[in-house]
Amino acid sequence: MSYQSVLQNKTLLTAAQLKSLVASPVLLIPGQAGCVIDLQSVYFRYIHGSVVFNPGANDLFVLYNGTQSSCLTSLSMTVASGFIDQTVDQSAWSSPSFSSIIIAGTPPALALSTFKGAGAFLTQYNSAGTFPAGTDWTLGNGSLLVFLRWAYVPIGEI
Amino acid sequence: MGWNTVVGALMFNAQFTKTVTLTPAQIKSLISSPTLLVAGEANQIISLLSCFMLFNPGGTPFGTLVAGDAISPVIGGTGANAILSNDGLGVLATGFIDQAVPMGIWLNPFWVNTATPTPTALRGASMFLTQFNQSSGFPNGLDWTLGNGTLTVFVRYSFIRA
Repeated sequence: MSYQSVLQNKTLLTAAQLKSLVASPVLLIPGQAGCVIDLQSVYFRYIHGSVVFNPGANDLFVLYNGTQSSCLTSLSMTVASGFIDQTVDQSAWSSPSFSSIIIAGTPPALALSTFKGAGAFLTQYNSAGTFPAGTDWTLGNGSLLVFLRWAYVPIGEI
Repeated sequence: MGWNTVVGALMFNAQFTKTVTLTPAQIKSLISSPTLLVAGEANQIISLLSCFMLFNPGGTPFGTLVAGDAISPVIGGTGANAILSNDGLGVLATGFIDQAVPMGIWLNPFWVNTATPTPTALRGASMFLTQFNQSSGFPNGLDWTLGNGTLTVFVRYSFIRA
């Protein structure tokens, strides 16, 4: 059992996808059977359009691993306000740590079955509430490029 | 002057990965006998980049945990020169190795000073896995006495030539 090669991808999210991130999170890293994901680098580039998006003050981008409804490990998060509501292109790096800021204090362990082999998705939520509660944005016509670097870690047949 | 100015020979090496599986006996003696994860190398300091812990339960969950008991990689020993990962908190053992199903957790891999470690103490030091009680403060705690699962630790790391 060892780490596999480092992989990377770049995904362009359309305005329609950005406006439905709560209802329809976007798969950015496909799951791989028998593996967990070691996220190593996250960079967002916002490409502005003629109409800015309308995030709430506490809305955050979250890259999570597993299923949204069970509030699994938060891979990374970036504040949406001040980012995708701007009239010029914006950049944001996100900490790739898996340790959740959603759940206060030391992050809890998770049942392996809930994220082993699962993909990583981008969503947004209102951090004033409890993940994954949030409201989809209704305005905006820009787009978002997400650059990711990661490795799969095979963890055996447990 | 620029980003890539090299001062002497101080620089990062390549990344490495390693997997270590702890037996129940090793888990139950993490305080008295921390388990070696990565051996130190002369004149270099270990830079922890990623750490995933996987608990595979046995027939008896670890059942003598105290609230606040935490597991953490450490370098520099157990005294004033020790530095722990994840803001000095490690990962909570309760809710993890006391469970009856396989559990997993990622660790924030950065080092945090618990005191003022000297470069001399860290240079060449190995990285171990230990446990302690967050409430009592590192390195205080009690070894667990029950349990027969295993703990597998996946680490990605580099060395800083310092």
